[in-house]
Amino acid sequence: MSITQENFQFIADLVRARSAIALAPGKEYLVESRLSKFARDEGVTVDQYVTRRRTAMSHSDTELIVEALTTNETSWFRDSQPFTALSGHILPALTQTRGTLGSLRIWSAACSTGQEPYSIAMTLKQYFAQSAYQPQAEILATDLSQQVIDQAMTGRYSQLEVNRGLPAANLVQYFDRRGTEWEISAELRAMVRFRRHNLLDPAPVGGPFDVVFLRNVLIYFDVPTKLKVLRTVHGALRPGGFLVLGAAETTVGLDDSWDRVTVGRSSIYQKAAITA
Amino acid sequence: MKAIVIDDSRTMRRIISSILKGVGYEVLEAGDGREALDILTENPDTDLCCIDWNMPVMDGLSFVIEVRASREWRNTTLMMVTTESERGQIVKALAAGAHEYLIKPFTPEAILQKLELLGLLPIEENA
Amino acid sequence: MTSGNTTLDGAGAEAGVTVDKEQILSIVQEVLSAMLDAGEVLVFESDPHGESDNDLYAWVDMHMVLPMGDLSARAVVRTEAATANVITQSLLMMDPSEEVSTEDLADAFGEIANVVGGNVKSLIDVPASLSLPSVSAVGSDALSGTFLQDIDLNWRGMPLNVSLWILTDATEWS
Repeated sequence: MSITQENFQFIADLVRARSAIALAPGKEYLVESRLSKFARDEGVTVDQYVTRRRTAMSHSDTELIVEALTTNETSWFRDSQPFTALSGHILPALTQTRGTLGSLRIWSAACSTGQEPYSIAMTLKQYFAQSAYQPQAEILATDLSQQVIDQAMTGRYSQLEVNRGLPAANLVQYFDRRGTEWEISAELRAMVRFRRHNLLDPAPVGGPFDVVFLRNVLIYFDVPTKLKVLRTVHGALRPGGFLVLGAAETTVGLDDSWDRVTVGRSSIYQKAAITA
Repeated sequence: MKAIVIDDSRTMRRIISSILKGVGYEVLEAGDGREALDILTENPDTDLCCIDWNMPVMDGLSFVIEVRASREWRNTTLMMVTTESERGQIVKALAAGAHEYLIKPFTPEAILQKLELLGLLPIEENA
Repeated sequence: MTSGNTTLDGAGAEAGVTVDKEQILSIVQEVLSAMLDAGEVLVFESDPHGESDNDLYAWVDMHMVLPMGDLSARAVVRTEAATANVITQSLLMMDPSEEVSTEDLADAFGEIANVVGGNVKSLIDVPASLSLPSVSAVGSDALSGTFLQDIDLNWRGMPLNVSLWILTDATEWS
């Protein structure tokens, strides 16, 4: 059952308004393929799914649809802001409150194929490059899927994957070519530990953490589950620690145990320094 | 914003131009480095050049070297867009002064992500 | 599916130059998914299929400088004319009803061979130059030299073949 031109245009307009991505006619198969999982969940065709959305579209529907259509595979330094916030605000703030950082523990809680934790590692490497003191930095990277964890552990990426959001200078500095693929350096690999973990379970071993990246995963949960996950993360953070969410995500209206941190348009929150 | 797409393949020029125009760029095209220098001379306000490596008359690396040698064009961002993907080639291009490097084949998103990295994406992301 | 490993003969082998089927597949998947299929992988290795009556060939040559002498290799993309038309219309953003000129075809289909060949060249990783692409309906124009390796593929249900050839006889070297 093919998507109608009207419905295709509706989706294309939506995606175009929310991202720089233009879906030209001819890309109907892409819309069908990417939205099929949502349609299936509702027991309808993609065309019917879109028709329904045209009458009643929630904010979270929009997020899910745009996310599904603008993500091929995860990219490096996704959305860029969280990483500039890491080096521009978070690390300096932690240093200010705690003095020289002897250790640094970061949890990448929906790490997928590893681009996020490795991007964090690169950011840390570059931040501390000029520093007299190098903290013992550990990045715990978890995901629900063992498959992506196994993939991430290889540290190998295709040429298409390293094209996505990775500065060329980082590519030559931190990767080696292996046949048609690129492999992340041993130095960076050593900074990241991968583990399968379900966010509905208690926090993984390795905390308390200074920073938690929990990006573009809450959008898939219902409200009670969002709250549960946020509580788990809150518990796993050190006082004064930071939570980094995805671009359009927020804890506002959901969980008031966080302080919103204004860093550009980033979604960054801080656990109060003194626990209530 | 203005860009010059430099590639000896009409098809590749069309692909890249279309992506750039789609985000609001005014796009000029050149089939080799020499032609591109002429266009750049007439358009010193060019923000971005997307440059293929292997071209007749003047190749992409030579173009980068020429542009970076001149103070006139120091505000123009230079991005290689090429199949040359040996690590040594990328290092060479960056050392010659290219600001970014995109390996062919690339998806439209990949080029836009590079532009975002460079601060050259005209469309404002929605908050 | 076999992962045939073929070394560029003689001196090529000594230089440690190899291209196997898996790598060619990987390259073609990246090229087609990025340039034609918006990132979806819609090309896979298929059962062998021979040449048809209306095939088109697009190829690029690589001239490599190896320690023991120069070597020329060729990467050929072969598909049915109708498929090459689909590729061309997609790359040039033409309407499916628009007519595809020979020039359009040479340009667009040639560019596919250019990007595939360019990636093969980068994989081999020796100093090398890449020729401009050529397109022809005549098989013997394209398929010359010593056969090295090929892979039969299926892209969106349409047959496609990519082959590698050595143009300079390696045994001529001392």
